[in-house]
Formats: sequence, structure tokens, C-alpha cells
Amino acid sequence: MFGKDLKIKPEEAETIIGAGVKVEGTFNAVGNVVVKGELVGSMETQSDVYLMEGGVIEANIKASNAIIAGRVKGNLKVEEKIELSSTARLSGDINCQSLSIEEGAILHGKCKVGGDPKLSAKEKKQQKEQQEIEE
Amino acid sequence: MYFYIYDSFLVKKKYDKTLSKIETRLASLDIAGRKHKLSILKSVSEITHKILEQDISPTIVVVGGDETLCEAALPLAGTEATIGFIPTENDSLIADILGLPVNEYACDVISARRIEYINLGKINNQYFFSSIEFEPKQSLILADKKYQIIPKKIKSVKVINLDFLRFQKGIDGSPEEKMVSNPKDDYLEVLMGASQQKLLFFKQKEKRDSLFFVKKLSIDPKNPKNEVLIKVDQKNIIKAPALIEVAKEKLKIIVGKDRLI
Repeated sequence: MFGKDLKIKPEEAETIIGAGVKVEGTFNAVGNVVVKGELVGSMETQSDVYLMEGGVIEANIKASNAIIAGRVKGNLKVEEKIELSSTARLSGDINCQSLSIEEGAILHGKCKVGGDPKLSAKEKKQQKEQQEIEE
Repeated sequence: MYFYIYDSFLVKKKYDKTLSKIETRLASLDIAGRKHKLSILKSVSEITHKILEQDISPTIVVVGGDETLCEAALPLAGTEATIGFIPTENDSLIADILGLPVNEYACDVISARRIEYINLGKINNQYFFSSIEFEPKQSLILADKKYQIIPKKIKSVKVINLDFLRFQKGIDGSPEEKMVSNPKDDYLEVLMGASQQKLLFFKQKEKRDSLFFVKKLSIDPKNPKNEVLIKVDQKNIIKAPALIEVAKEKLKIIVGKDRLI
């Protein structure tokens, strides 16, 4: 009657915080997390976070990827990519490998995108001078 | 040894032909066994406990409906017993999940003895097979001792071990998805829904759009004066406070090759 692909696998499953639900505390998930409601505290997942329009997160977030269309108050530490859509309102620092911001999105905070930047010529000179003094 | 528990509704004459076909098929497969018929005087758990006293590793087959299977399965958790099911109703949800055909066709599945070890849920040290349900209005819900789930406008909460899940995965307007819980992953699925008012006829329709995976869930009444009633396996009622978790003991169950778990 139903296909075998109906089975829920925890590593692939999506935790869904619906519009009528608020979650408070330390929220750790294995699979993707979809937030349509409210989350306050801290959030960590090995997979992706989808914050839908109307959804609110007041927490520091750690995830693999983050797609933000709602409101976030907290820092975002993402291993790969952050996507801010036009309705996103983010107040906090972000740290990721790549960032995409759609026109209309609001971002208040420091951004660290990509790996460690190469030192500028001036910084290299200063570092060399300091090494010489130490020697 | 095989033991067969016949559901109480099978005493009706219309099931005579079906039962005769089932018994003939079981005999031809050489798996006929002792029959126990349920009645007002003989409960499922009473019969199951009696069988366990007689045999350490029996195969207990329920012939009948989902409710009786749920009840018969509970005392078998953690024992050497194996449970099987011959559904006699076409609308059996558990038969769909376990991949069982109805009536005499299920006898071949029993004979094939394809066994899965599945979880049972536990509520206040009492097992449950399928799911529990309660109204969250007056309750405090704590998941895995780490986060609180605060339902706003939520009509009902369903904690599932083995059942179909119907929920709205996407944004508003997206169709409901139908999935099956995984009773082998040591997690319970928690499904919640907000009541949605339909303009036409002002009918309340529930929209289940929250899904959590938990190992432990505690339910406490917000106010000790208020009662929070929890329906277990669609039958028994338990009062909160309650601790719901996955039982350590597993259940040996016979499944068909078309199973969804």
C-alpha cells in the first residue's frame, strides 16, 4: 500500500518546530531542523537549519548549513554556507565558509566568511620586524 | 510451539468461513497450535501470561484486530517469545506497517518467520506498543531533560513508537505527508498539531506541523490541581506526571517482506 521510502531515518529526518510551538533550552538534533515557530536557548545540529519566514530563533546556532528567512538574535557558526533571504533579520555575528545575502535582508553583526585571510604586505612587514626584535 | 489468540469479535458467525480457511492453511503449513479464544472472562494479558508460564519461547499469534495485538505484545517484551499477527480486518494499520496480508494469506508470513526486533515505549514503567496521546493545554513538557516544548494553540500531542505519521512538512498550504515511525531507532516521534479554523461550516481541522525525535519525555501538570489525562494505545488512561521513554527490552515480531519498518 505504501512505499518503503516512507520510513523515517533519524539521520535524514527533519525535526520541525511548527508555528504553534516554542522550544526553550539546549536543543541538539542529528538531522535537519526546520523552524517555523520559536526557539530560545541554544541550537546545534550536524545537518542544516531552515528558519522559515515568521520563525524566530533567539539562540546561538551551530549547523552545517543555514537558510534564514526569519528573525535570529544570536551568533551563527556554520561549517559551510549561510543564505539570508530578503525577509531575514539577523542580529549577531556570523562565521561560515560562504555567505549569500538577498536584497532586503538585514544583518547587524560581524561577519567572518571563508578561511583565515592571507596577511597583507604591511602586516607581513610588521610581523618580520617583530621577529627580528625578538631574535 | 505455536499459540493462537482469537479476538473476541471473531465469535460472530460471519467470521466462521474466514477462521476455517485460516485453520486449514495453518494445518497445511504444519504450524497449527493451541487456540485461545478471548471473551469477557478471558483477557489477552491473562492468556499471554499463562502461555509464558507453559513455554519459555512460544510463538504467540494474534488472530483479529490491532488493539488485541497491541495488548498481547506488551507482556512479551524482553522475553524469548515471538509475536505474530493474522489480521482479519482490511483497515488494519499495523498490518500495513508490518507488511502482512489479511486472513489466510498471512499464514504464509507466519510460516516464513521473518523476525524483527522492535522497540516498545514505556510510560511510568508500563509498556505501550503503538502511541500515546494527550492534550497539552495544562501540561509542562520536557524533552530529553534538555529543552522544554511549549505548545501554543496546540490541540493534541502524540508520542509514537509504531504508527503512521501524518504531518505538514513544508510551509502553509503544502500537503500532508504520510510516513511511518521507525520502531528500531531507539527514538520516539513526537507529533503536535495546531487547531485550524476552517471558514466553511466553522469546522475545526487539526494541522499537525511539529515533529520532534526524543528518547525521554516528561509530562507534568502545570498546576497540581489540574488533571492531565494520557491515552495509551488508544485504550488505557494514565494521569500525569508521566515519564515516557523507549523501553530497553525489545519485542520479537514476525513481519512480511513488504513491511514498512
